[in-house]
Amino acid sequence: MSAAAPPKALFIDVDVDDQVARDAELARRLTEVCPVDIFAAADDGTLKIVDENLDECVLCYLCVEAAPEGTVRVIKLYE
Amino acid sequence: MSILIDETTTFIVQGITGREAVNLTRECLDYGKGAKVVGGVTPGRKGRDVHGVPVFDTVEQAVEHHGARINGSVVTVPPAFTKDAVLEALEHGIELIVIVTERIPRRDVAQMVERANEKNARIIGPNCLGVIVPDVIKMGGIGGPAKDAAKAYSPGPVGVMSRSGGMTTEISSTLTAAGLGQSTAVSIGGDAIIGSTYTELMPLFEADDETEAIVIYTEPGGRMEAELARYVTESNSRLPIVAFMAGRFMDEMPGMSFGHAGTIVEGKADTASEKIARLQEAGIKVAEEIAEIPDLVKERLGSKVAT
Repeated sequence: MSAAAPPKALFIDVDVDDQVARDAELARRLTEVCPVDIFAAADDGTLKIVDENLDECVLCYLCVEAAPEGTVRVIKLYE
Repeated sequence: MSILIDETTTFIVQGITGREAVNLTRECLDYGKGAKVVGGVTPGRKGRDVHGVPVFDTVEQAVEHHGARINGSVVTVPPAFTKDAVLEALEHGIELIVIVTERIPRRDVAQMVERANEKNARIIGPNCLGVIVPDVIKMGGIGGPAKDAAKAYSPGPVGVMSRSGGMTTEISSTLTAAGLGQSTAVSIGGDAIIGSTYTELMPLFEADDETEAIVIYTEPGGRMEAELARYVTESNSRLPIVAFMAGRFMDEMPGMSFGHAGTIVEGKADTASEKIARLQEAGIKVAEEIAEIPDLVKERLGSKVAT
């Protein structure tokens, strides 16, 4: 029996709509605006979330502002 | 007048038996009119005293002993315990919390700031040296020992805000030497997430009759300067602002960073020169070097200040 996978982050998670993640231009913009490199472009230009950087989030919400309303969500993993 | 604190402000020191806290308690008691440090908190140390300040196990005991609401707390406890200390202070009605501790997990800071907002309380810091009203009171280690703080700070019309604790004193000392006193100086903290930004403190300075100009010390990284530029543009602020931006060399040395966490994490999109341009577009005068600051302030104040 394998152990449960550890959480990918303790502070925040980021959820991005598939449509946005597949849009190379939006992916490029999100990669550009995030000051702590939570986003990266995959080889095919689509958006990749860098799990190990999630807890570096500074809650600037630049990603939320850079994408169409409601398509990028910063999810707080604390109460 | 002043912002945040005045001679009537009462506060406690959480973690008061630690070495740094013992020193800053002495400094606060000795400075100006003598801070009203009404208690200290270190779990398990109730019954002791630090420079005559009674020590309690909990904030609740300190409040009960004081017999009235306590205005503020200086938090100096280790990073792992800071969140609990701050939440305890907030639960007991403390409305101004100066967090000296650095290296607090970002998640904890976010929680503390959100809880403070819910309680209509204010956090200064983390990773800051506190607040000083020249010749009146200081809350935190800002300015160091009372005799040194008395040399560096003098009463006057300039509000000072700085991301660096040490530079708060450096800039204030430069102003003092030029005959420009300070209304209140605030070390806002060098971390990536802090309780009170320039923009969040500006309305307090706007409402303070004594304040006639603002000087800020900034560094590369972070959004605070962009927010301030927008505030100045949109609010029709009455206060002229002079800024000093450290770290211009970082534009020429990618990968180089200051020690403050706030500058380390956000070096990508907002360089020093971009920030300077943004501040200047908003009408904020940016000094090339610290020595220029007093003249720029005097220039902006015009005849308001006798030199």
